[in-house]
Amino acid sequence: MNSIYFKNIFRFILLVLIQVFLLKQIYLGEGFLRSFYFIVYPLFILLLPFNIPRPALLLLSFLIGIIVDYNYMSLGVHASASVFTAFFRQPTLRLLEPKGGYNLNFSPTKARMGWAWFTRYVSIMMLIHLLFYFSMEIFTPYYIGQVLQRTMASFIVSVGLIFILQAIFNPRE
Amino acid sequence: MGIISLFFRRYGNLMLFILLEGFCFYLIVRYNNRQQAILFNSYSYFFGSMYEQYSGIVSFTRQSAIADSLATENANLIEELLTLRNSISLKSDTINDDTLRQTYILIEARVVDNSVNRDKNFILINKGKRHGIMPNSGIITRNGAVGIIRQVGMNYAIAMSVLHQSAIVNATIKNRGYFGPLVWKGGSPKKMYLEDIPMHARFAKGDTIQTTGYSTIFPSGITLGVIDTFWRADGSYAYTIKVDLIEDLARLDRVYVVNHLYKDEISSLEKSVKDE
Repeated sequence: MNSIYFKNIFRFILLVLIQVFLLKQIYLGEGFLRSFYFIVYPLFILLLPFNIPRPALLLLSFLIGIIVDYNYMSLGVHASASVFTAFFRQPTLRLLEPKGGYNLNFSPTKARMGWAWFTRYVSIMMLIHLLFYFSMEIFTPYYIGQVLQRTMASFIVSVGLIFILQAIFNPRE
Repeated sequence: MGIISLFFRRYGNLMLFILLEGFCFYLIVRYNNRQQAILFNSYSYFFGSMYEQYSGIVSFTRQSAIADSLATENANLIEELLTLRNSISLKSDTINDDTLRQTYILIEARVVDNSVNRDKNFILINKGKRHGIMPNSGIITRNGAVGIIRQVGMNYAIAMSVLHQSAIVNATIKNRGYFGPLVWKGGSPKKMYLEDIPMHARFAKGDTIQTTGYSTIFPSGITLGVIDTFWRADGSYAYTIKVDLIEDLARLDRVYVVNHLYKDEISSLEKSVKDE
């Protein structure tokens, strides 16, 4: 029981550090290359245990979002996307529920659920997260093309990074 | 009590979600300039267009009243014109009220030397102190503002061309009212840039740019050019407008130096409030 808490706190800190000290510094260049955002911290929201109470899920997501925002000087933008993602975690999990249901003591990790399930889960959640994030960042329907372009570009690199992280650490919880 | 707890169990998460998102939204528009500007802009656009339609309806219903008032105004103007004609035909020393007060004196001059291809261009004219030229007077032509007198000699004067990196002409969009500094950024002598036009301003390509008359240098209403293109930098609150000048400054010949008769009075007034 304690190890689940510990692991999630550790993951929270590690992902924030990776996000703001490594990924934030990446600069690919101007023009189209600016569409690539490396965003992995939502992995924390994705990997929280199945049985976490929903209010806790929302508040923790807000917390990680606002910490990332604080470092990105974009107060509220990441936080709103995180809360949005957290709110849609339950419906996504219900959509992807296997025949036997989930073991509520587990976390939705690659190690527990397998690559196929995990890929679908991460894809849906990251698409939700990035779409909402860029909508908030660009903030006008006038540049909907930009929103979609950045979402697709960032989706590819961010999901790729999340897979790499999962492959390296391969956490069970 | 049971209903309340049931309500919270059913909608508590949704309410928490809405609460957090609302708070995030507040943070976004409070602490992010870009998003704040977009929100403010769409807000003013929405209410601005509503107001425009409303005033359109109102003015339509008031057409006949407006026509009547214009007719009366016309009559008054004709009356005034007649009286003025009358008083002009009188001897000039009998007029002692203020209605005919003259504000500007125009001194005709010819351009002796001129350049357009440097960063700092100057114009030399063939009139000087002897002819009543004073520093900081504007130079105009029929088609625009040309320069500002800097140094005055006995017979000649040298002026900073408007095609000078530090020359600023206060300009406005005709019939729209918005104003800003018109500056030259080098390059083509036919292009200048009108800056700091607030982003809620409505104007269109082809609109006329003219002087404001907010300074004693140029009289108001001198046509300068027409809007070519305009844009707003990312996150900026103001438009920059590219203006096609009407006057060809590379072919200046006859110009007029504008002397504002009350320049000293105005500048001493301005000086007196500057200390406050």
